[in-house]
Amino acid sequence: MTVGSSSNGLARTAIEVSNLYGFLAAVFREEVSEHFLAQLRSPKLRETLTDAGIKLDDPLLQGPDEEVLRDLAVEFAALFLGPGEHISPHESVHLPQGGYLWGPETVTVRKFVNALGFDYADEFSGMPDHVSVELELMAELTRRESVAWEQGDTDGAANSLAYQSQFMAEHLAKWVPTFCSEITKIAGLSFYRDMARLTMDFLESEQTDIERRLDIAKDG
Amino acid sequence: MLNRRNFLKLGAAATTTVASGACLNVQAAKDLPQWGNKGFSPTTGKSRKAIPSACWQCVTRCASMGYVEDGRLVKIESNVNSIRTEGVMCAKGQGGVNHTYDPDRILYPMQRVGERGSGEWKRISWDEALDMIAARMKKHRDAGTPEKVAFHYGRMKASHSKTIGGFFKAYGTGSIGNHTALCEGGKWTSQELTWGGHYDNWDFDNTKFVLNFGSNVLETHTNHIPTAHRLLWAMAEKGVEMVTFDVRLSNTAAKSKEWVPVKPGTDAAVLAAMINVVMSEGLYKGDGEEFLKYTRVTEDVNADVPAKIAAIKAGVKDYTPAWAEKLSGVPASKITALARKFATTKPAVLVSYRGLVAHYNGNEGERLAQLLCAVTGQMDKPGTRMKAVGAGWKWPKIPKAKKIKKIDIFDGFPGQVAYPTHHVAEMVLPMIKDGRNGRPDMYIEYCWTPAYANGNVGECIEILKDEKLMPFVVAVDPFYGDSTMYADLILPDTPFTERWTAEDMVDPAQIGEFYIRQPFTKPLGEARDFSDVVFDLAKRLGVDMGKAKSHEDFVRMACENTPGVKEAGGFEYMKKHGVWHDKNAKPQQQVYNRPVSESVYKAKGVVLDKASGVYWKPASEADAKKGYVATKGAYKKYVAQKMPHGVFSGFAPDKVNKSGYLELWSPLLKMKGYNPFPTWIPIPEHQKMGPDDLVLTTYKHAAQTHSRTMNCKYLAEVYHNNPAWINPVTAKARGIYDGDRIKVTSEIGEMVTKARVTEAIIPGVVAISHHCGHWAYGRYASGRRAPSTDEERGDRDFKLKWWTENGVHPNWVIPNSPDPINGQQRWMDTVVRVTRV
Repeated sequence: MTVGSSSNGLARTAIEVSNLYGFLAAVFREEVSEHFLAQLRSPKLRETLTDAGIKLDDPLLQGPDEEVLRDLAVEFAALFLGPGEHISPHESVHLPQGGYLWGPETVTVRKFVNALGFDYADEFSGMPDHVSVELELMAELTRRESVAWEQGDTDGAANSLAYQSQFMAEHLAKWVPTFCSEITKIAGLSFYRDMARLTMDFLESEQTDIERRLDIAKDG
Repeated sequence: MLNRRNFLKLGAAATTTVASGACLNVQAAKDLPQWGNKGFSPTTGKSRKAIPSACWQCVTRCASMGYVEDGRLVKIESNVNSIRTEGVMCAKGQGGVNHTYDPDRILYPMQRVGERGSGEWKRISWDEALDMIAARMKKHRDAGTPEKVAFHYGRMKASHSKTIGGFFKAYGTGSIGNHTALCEGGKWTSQELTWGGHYDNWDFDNTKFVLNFGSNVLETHTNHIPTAHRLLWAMAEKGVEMVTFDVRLSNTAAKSKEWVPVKPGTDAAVLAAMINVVMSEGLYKGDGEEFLKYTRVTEDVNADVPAKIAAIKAGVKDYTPAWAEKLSGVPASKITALARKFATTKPAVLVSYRGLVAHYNGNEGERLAQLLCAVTGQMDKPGTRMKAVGAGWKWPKIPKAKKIKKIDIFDGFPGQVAYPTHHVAEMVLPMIKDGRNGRPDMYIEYCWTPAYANGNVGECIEILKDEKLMPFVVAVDPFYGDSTMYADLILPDTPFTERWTAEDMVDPAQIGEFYIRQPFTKPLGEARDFSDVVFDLAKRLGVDMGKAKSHEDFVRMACENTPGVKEAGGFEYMKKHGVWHDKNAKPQQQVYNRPVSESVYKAKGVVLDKASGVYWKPASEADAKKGYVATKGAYKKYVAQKMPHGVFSGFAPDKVNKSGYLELWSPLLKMKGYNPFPTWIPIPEHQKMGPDDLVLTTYKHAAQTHSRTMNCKYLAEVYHNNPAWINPVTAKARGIYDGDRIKVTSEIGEMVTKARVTEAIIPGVVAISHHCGHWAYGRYASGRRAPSTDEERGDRDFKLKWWTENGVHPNWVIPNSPDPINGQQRWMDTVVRVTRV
C-alpha cells in the first residue's frame, strides 16, 4: 500500500484502498464469474496479487475455465452458502448477541448504511450485514475520501474517515478476522484461503492507517 | 377482616379524597388501547409491530401474533382473539421464531454436483432451477406420462393444499403422496368407516369425565393447544376427572386422576371388555338405546334396537373383564369400575389416539372405541366425542387436467392394506425399490423428510441414494435436513413465518374459525414459498391456475369470496385481525338425527339401495344394479339413510361407501375378509415373543414435533436427548442400571442408546421418543456445524449450547409396517431385544 501524506498521495492511497475493498467485496459476494476469472488471470492483477504475497496456484491459472469455475463455485457454496455446515458470511451469526441470521447487528448495519443515505440494491439477496455489504460500504467511504483529498477538502476526508473508523471498530474488526480465520481453516482451495488471509492482513493494516489518515485530515 | 363489600363501601364514601391528575395526565388518552397483542421491547422500550398470523410448527396451526422490531421478528405468541386457542400458545409455537433466523437455512436454489449425498453443491438461479423442473415435466406431459412426476408432501394444508396440489392435478399427475399414515391415518380411516368424517373433537368444555386411551393430549395432540387448554381448564376449574390408559406415565397420564398402565396393543381388549360390562349390566339403557337407533351393528339394516342389543351382546360376550385382564394386565375390577363410570357419568368423552391406533389392531381398537361411545350414548353431543367442525372456505377454482394419471405407489403393495384412504406413506420408498407398479422419474419432496420420518431409515437412505431407483429428486425445504442431503436439486422454501395461507383447522368450540397466515417479514435470501413457485412453473408449462396470480392473491380471493369473512371486511379485515368467526353461530352437533324430507330422498334420480338402506343418486343404471357398497365412489352420491323410524341425514360418508348409520357392522370390512363387527385382533408378532423380547414403543414430547422442530434452538434446549425408558424389573433382569449404554436390536437392525430406568413405564417395554438423533438439519438438531477457530467471539448461542448429546432416532430399528386395514404405520408394535453394552 502506498503510504503518502500529501493530498495526492492520500487520494491515491484512498482509491487503492477503495479498490481493494471492492475487490474483496466481489470475492465474497458471489461465485467467481468467467469475467472475474479472466481478470484474476490477467498479468496486471496477478502481479499485484503477487506483490501482496498471493501467488495464485497453477490449476486456477491454467485449468480449463469450465472446470475451474465449477470447482470455485462448489467451494464457494461449501464455504459460504451451505447447504449444511458452512461459514455464514453474515455478521450477526458471528457476534456475541447473535448466533443467528438477521440479529441485532444486522439492524445496526442496515441503519448505518441508511443513515449515510445509501440503500441496498434491489437485486442483492443477502442479509444487510453480509460481509460484501460491509466491504462495499468501506469501498464507497474510501472512494469519497479519495475525492475529498483530490479536491483539497480535508473536512470531507475527515468526515469520511470518521465513518470508516467507526464502522471498522463497530463492525468489520469485530467479526471479519474470525470469519476469515475460519475460512483459512476449512477452505479446500487455496484461492479462498489466500483471499481470507489477504482480507485479515488488509483490515489489520487499515485499522491503523485509517487513524493515521484521520489525524492528517483533522490537522487540515 | 374486611370482605370485598366493605372495601367497596369505603370506595363509595371516599370519592372526595381521590387524587386525580397529581401525577398523571389521564385526560390525554380518550380510550384505553385494546388489551393484548401489543408489543414493546423490554430493553429498548421500542414499540413492536404486531402482525396476526398462524403457526405451522405442528398440524394444529394455531392463530398467532408475531412481533417485528426494526424489521426483525423477535417474538411469537398467540392471537388473543382466537376462539380455538383463547390466547394460549405452546412452546413449539413460540420457538417458531428460531426457524426464520436459523443460521443453517438454505437461502438459494442449490444443485448437487458430487455423488448423491456427498454434500457437494453449487448455487444456481431460480430460473435455472425452474427450467430444469419444467423441462422434465414438459417432457413427460408431451410423452403422455405426467404420472412420472411424483409429488410427495409431509405437511400441506388449506390454501397451500389447494394451490400446490391444484397445480399438480392441473398438470395431470395424480402421483401425489402424503405422510398421514405415519401420523394418524389409522384413526382417520377407522372413523371414516364408522361415522364418515375423519376427525373427532373432544368437547372438554362440557364434559364431566374423560376416558383416555393412548392420547398424549396435554402434550402433543394434532389439535393440541385448542383441546389441551380446555382440558386443563375443565380439570382445574371444574374438577373433571381424566383416567388415562398408557404403557408410559406421560405428562398427560401424570396429570390425570389415574394412570392405568396397559400392555402395548391391548387397549382394544380393554375397550371390548368395557362394552361387555355395559351390555351385561344394562348400562346401555336410555341414552345408549336411543343412540343405537342410528347405529348399525348387524347385517340387517332394518334391525330394531332390541335386535341390535342382542347382536352387540353376542359380539362381545367373550370379552369379559377377566379375559381382558389376562391380555392387558389391567385388573378386571378396574375395567368394570371404569366402564360403569364412563356409562353413567353424563356427559363423558372417550379420547383415543396413537397409543390405541398405531398398532396392527389399531383399526379395530378405534372401532371398539366408537362402539363403546355408541352403546353409552356418549357421542356427537355436548360433552362427548363429536364430529369435528372446521372453517369452510370458498376457494378459488383451479381447473384439473382432463386426464390425471398416477403411479400406484402410494397405497401399499397389492392386497397389503384394505382401505388406505389416507395412503400408506411408509411403503412408498419400498414400492419404488420394488418397481412392480413403476417408478417416478422426478420425485419432489415438500415439507417431507422420507429418510427420517419413515421406519427402516437405513433402507430409505439406500433407496434415496440410488439414482437408478430415483433418477431425479427435488427437495423443497427451508433447511438442509436428513433427507434434503440426498436430493439433486434444493428449492429454498420459506419457513411459515414468511408465508401466506388461509387456514381452517378444527375448532373445539364446534363453530369454525377462519384465520390466515401472513408473513411477519420478507423471505430471507432468495427463499420463496413453494405455493408461489408453482404459479411460476404453471406459466412455464402453460398450466391454468385459475384467476389467482400468486398465493397471496389466492388467499385474498378466498377472503373476498367466503361468506361471513367477506362481509366482515374480507382480506383487509383478515390482515388486520387474523381471525374471524360467526359470533351468532351455535356449536354444531347431532346432524345425524335430522329428518330428511321426502322431496329430497324421492327426488329424481335418487334410489334406495336396499342392502344398505342408503338413498343415493347412482350415475347409471349399471351402478344402481351393482349397488351402493360395490360401486366405486358411490359415497359421493349419498343422499340420506333409511332407518326403521324414518329417513335421516345420518352419519354421511366421506371417503368410503359406508351407510348413513354409525356403521359398526361393516360390509366394507366383510368384503375384505375381516369381521364386520368390531373385534379383538391379537398382534401377530407379540404372540411369538420369547422371554427376552420386549416391545419398543414410541412417543412425542411437548416441545417437539416428530421431525421439523429440532433445529429451533429454544426447543432443542428444552428437549434434545431421549434415553430409552425401561422399567426397573425389566432392567434388572438384563443387568441394566440407570444411565447404562444399551443396545436395542430388532429384526431390521440395532442401535445404541442410554437407559433411563424408571417405574414410569410398565415392565416388558422399552420406550424411545421421536424427534432426536438427526444426522443433519443444522447445528442445534445434529450438533454439526462448521468449525470455529475463535472461542472467545462468535456464535455465542452455540457456545451456550450446554448439551452435547442429540439423542437417537428409533426409526433405524422400526420396520415400515402398516395396519392391514388402514395403512397406519405401526409405531408401537416392534419386538426388540435390549442388552447392556
